Amino acid sequence: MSTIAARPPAVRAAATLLATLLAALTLLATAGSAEAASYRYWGFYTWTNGTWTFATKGPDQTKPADGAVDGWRFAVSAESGSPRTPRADGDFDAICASTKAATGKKRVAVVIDAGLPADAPAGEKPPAARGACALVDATASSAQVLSAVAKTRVEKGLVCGIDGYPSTGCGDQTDATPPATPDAQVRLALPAAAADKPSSGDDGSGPPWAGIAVAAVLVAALAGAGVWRARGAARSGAGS
Amino acid sequence: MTPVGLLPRHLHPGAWWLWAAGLATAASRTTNPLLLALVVAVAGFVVSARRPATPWGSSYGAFVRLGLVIVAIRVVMGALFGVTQGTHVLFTLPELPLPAWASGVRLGGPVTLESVLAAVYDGMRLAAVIVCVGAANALVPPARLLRCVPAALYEAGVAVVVALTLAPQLVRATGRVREARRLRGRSNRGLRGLRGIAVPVLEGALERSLDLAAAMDSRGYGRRAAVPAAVRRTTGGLVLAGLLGVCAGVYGLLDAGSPPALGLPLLVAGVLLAGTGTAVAGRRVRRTRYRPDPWALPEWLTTASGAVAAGCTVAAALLGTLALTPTVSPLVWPQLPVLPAAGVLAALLPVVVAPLPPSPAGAQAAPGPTSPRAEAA
Repeated sequence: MSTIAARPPAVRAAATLLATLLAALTLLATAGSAEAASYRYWGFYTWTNGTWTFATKGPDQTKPADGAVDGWRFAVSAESGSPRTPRADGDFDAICASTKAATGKKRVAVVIDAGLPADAPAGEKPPAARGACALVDATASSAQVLSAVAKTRVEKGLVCGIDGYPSTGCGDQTDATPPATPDAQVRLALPAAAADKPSSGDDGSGPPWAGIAVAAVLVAALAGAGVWRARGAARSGAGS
Repeated sequence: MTPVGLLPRHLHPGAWWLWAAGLATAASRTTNPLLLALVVAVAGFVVSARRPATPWGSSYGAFVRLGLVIVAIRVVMGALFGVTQGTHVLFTLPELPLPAWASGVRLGGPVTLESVLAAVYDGMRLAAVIVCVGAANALVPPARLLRCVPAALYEAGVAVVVALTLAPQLVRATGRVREARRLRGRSNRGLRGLRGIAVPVLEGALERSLDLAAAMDSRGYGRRAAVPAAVRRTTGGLVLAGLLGVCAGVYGLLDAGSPPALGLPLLVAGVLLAGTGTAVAGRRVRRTRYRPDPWALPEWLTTASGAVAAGCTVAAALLGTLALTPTVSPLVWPQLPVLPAAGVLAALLPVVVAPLPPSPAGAQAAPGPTSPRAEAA
C-alpha cells in the first residue's frame, strides 16, 4: 500500500516547471551587469592649501581649527569619479569679515552650496549658494559648526538636509549621471554686517498636544485594563 | 467578556502568530514612540484577555522587562559610542583619545539630547518587536505550536517538544542535587562544586532520555514509510534549490544595486519550490493528530486584524508620512499618525472575536471544539 511512492504526475510536473523557472531566473539575474551607481548627497569638504579636499572623517569627528573653512556641496556623484566640490573658494577673510572674534571661541567659515538645478531631486529647487561664519566653542566639531549657521536634518549621523533642502531622502541612489564638464564657479551670498543667525527654535507652534494626549490616553487605558485583568485573574486563580 | 456563541476552545496557534507577526511588522516600520507604546499596550491587553492559564501565559511581563533592558542598553551604548548629533548637550563624558586608525569610533565626549532620543526611538522599535513575539509566546504555549509543524519537519518537532518538556525537569533535578550536597556538608561553589552538581544531573538526564526513547520506540515513533531513493533525492534537491533561491531572493531584495530579477521573483520562486519539496517530503511521514485545532472564522478575523495593522503602517510609509519617523535633528515633538494608529487599534479585534481559552478544569468537560459560526463557514 505504498501510495506515497507513486506521486501524482501533476506534482512532479509542477516541481519540474518551478525548477526550470528558478534556473532561468538565476541565469537572467547573474547575466545582468552591475553598473556604477550614482548617489545624491551632501558632501563634506575642508579647505586645505587652496583647494577643497574631501573630508576623511565624518563631520562629528572633525574638529576644525580657528580660521578653517568647511564646505558642503549637494550633488549627484558617481561612486567612481572626481568629487564635486563647492563652486566657490573658501575665503575665510571674506566670509568672516563681519564676525568679531571672542575669547574662548573660534571662528569657522562655512560654505553651503546646494548645487545645480540638475542635481536637485524631483520637484525641488536648490537655494542660492551662501557662506556663513560660525562663532562656536573652541572644541566644537564640524557638525556643531554647521548647526550653528544652518538648520540641519540629520539621520543616523548623516547630514541629509541643510536649510530644508532637500526636504526628504538621505543619500538616495539615482539614475542621473554627473556632468562630465567641471562646474562653473559662483558668487557666495555672504552674511550682512549684523550677524543673521537662523533661529534655532522650531516654527513657533508648540507640541501637538492633541496627538500626544490621545496616544497617552489610549496607552494608559489599555495598559491599565490589561494590568487590572491580569491582577484579577491572579486573584481569582489563587482563591479558587 | 465571553464572545457570543463561542464555546471556550484554543484558537489555532498559527492565527495568533500571524496576528503577532502583523503587529511586529507594524512596529518595525516606525520609530514613533507614541505608536510603539500603542503597539505594546494593544499586545498587552490582548494577552491579558486571551492568555491560557499556563506558566507560559505569564511570560509577557518578562518580555516587557526585556524590552526595557534593551532600551536602557541602547541608550548607554549610544551615549558612550554613538554619533553625536544635535546641539542640546546634556552632559559631557570624558573623552578617551583613540589612535588614528580607530578614528571612526568615539569613546565618551558630549552626550546630546538628540542622540539620546535617537537611541531611545531605535531601542523602543526593537523592544516593541520583541514584545510582540512575547505576546505570541504567552498566547500560544510552544507545545501547541509544535502540533502545527508541517509533516516534513515532524521529527525535528518531536525533538523540540521533548526538549521543552524535559527542560523544567532539568532545573528541578539541579535544585535537588544542590540541596543534597548542602545536607552532606559539601560545597556548591567553584569548579569542584560545579562538577559535583553537573555529573549527577547529566547522568539523570541521560537515563531519563533513554527511558523516554525506549517508550517512544515501543509506541511506534520514528517509523517511516518505504520510499524509493529517487523520490527522496528529488525532494531533497527541490528543498535545497528552493532554499538557495530564497537566500538569493532575499539578498536581491536587500541590495539596492542588484538587477530587478534577483529580488522578488527569485524569492517567490524559491518559496514555492521549497514549499513543494516540503509538501512532497511530508507525505511519506505517517502521523495522526489528536483533535487538531480548526481554522474557522475567529482565526480568519484574528489574522486579518494583524494584517490590517501591518498594512496600514506600510501604506502610511509608502505615502511618505513623516510622523512615522520623527526626526531628532531638528528636534520635533512626535505626532500620532492617524492611519497607522487606527490599524494598530484594529489589532484589538481578537479580544472580541477570539474564543476564550478553556479553563484547566473545564477542558475535559467541553463537548465540542467548534463554534456554530465555524460549522456554517
